Amino acid sequence: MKKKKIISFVILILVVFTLAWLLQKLLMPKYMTKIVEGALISEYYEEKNKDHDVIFIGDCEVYENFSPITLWENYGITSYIRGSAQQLIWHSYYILEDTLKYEKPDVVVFSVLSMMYDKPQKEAYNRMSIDGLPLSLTKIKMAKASMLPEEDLITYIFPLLRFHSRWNELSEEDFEYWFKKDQIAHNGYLMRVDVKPAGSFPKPRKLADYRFGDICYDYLDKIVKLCKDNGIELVLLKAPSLYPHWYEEWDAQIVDYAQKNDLLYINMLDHLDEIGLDYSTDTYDAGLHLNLSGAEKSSVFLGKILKEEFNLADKRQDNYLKAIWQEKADAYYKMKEEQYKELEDYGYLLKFNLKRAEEDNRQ
Amino acid sequence: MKIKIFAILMSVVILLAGCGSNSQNADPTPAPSATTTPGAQEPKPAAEEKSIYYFSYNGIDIYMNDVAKPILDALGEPMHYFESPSCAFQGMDRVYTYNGFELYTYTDGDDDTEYVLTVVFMNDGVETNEGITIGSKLADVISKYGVKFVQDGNKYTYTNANTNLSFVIENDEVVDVSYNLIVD
Repeated sequence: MKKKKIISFVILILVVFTLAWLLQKLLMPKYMTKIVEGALISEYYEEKNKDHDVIFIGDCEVYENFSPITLWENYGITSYIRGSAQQLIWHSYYILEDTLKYEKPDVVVFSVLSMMYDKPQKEAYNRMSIDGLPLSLTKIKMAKASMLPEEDLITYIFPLLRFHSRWNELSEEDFEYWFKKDQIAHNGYLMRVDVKPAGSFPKPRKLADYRFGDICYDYLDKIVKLCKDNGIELVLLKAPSLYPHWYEEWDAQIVDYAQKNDLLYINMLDHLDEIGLDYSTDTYDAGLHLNLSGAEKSSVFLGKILKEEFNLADKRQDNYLKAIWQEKADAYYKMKEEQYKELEDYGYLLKFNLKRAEEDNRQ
Repeated sequence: MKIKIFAILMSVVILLAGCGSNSQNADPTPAPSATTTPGAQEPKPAAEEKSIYYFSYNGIDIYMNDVAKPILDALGEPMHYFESPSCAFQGMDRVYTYNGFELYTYTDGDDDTEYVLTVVFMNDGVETNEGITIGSKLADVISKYGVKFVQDGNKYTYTNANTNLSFVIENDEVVDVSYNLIVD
């Protein structure tokens, strides 16, 4: 009788947890349309072959501006972009720490734009960087480092506790992608083929203090140490985005830091002609981010430097990798074709202009 | 027995889903608009008490968090217009450039209504209601606004209601003047 009770209790617990898990899966945002950037972090864990020469960490300046497919096709470099929207430097550090549990790349490229933020900005950005990580001590440390005062750590361990209130906002998307999500990115690269030429920008504001925050330097030191301890070359990178303004005073600090720590720093804004970027055709939002043609140009430029500086082997003759990357390239060119078709049919990309598409449908 | 188990089961699930933190908080799913402009912060509508710090231009009073459209209509065609979609957000931060100043607006949630976020002086062609402009001396600022400022490096900020009025000083001279909506 006692044994039966114990079994019933165990079953009860299992059923409760299964139900809670199902509910959590249903209620968490899927990021499959409109705000697709939220799906980037979790996609990495679906990768079959987590063995890359180069790992990028950073914000939109990496996941919008570089194409791993181009790096493969031109140099035989395998890479993955572990980027997320407004990824702050403490996010980057813990995402790197988590990545190193799965693989040891030869090179890590860190986008330095996030040095300008020394405080968490918004819970939604935290969610997009943190929720996609599997539960681990790293994730808990990352959440603790990132949370705004009104956030609770427990909600990063059990996101259901945060998202339960979405029950009355559930949409078709939530049910469609309850268990299986679409692939959004290409090894972390978020493709857009549309074009919006760059014009002029607001005058850069005078800042009260140009020095990056102490906490940013602390985390940069930690990234340097993490890479050194694992025998990884670290590259500091300023991507060729024209806005927000990259101040000379900021640049000088990164130059200085790179010198002191014997790191390679590439400010791609200093090489725009060499890269061949044309901001009337190579950006989809007037110079903030590159479109596909821009990302491919910037990847050709960066790939050459990475290959020469770090003697990365050309792996295009490796049959195993060749097959994997062919599959990836197929998906890449299929999406490219689909996006051009959408542009032709609608004049804009549906996934990124859902509101506009809904309005057009109503008319 | 089965009903009992079912009841317990449902209670636990409901408890699990219903408890937890800050249920009064907004859905953390991204909503539009988060500025990427250095020096400006992400907006959040504040209480609508009118601040004593507001910018006037050609008889048009511009308070932070005011609905922007009537102001923009009154100001007329800007010399330049710039829009900045933020990473992952469908909303837009917009910058309208007029003779002597830039007006930043933001949108909130799915609502396309623009609200005033920031006014920044670009040159000494405009001045605060108290007569401070680019090139004024720090002593002038203090004599007009008093000593109740918060100093952060070389930035002096005066606060009232939902507005911060900030002056950046270099070599004893004002080099930047901005009215900013306060962000919690």
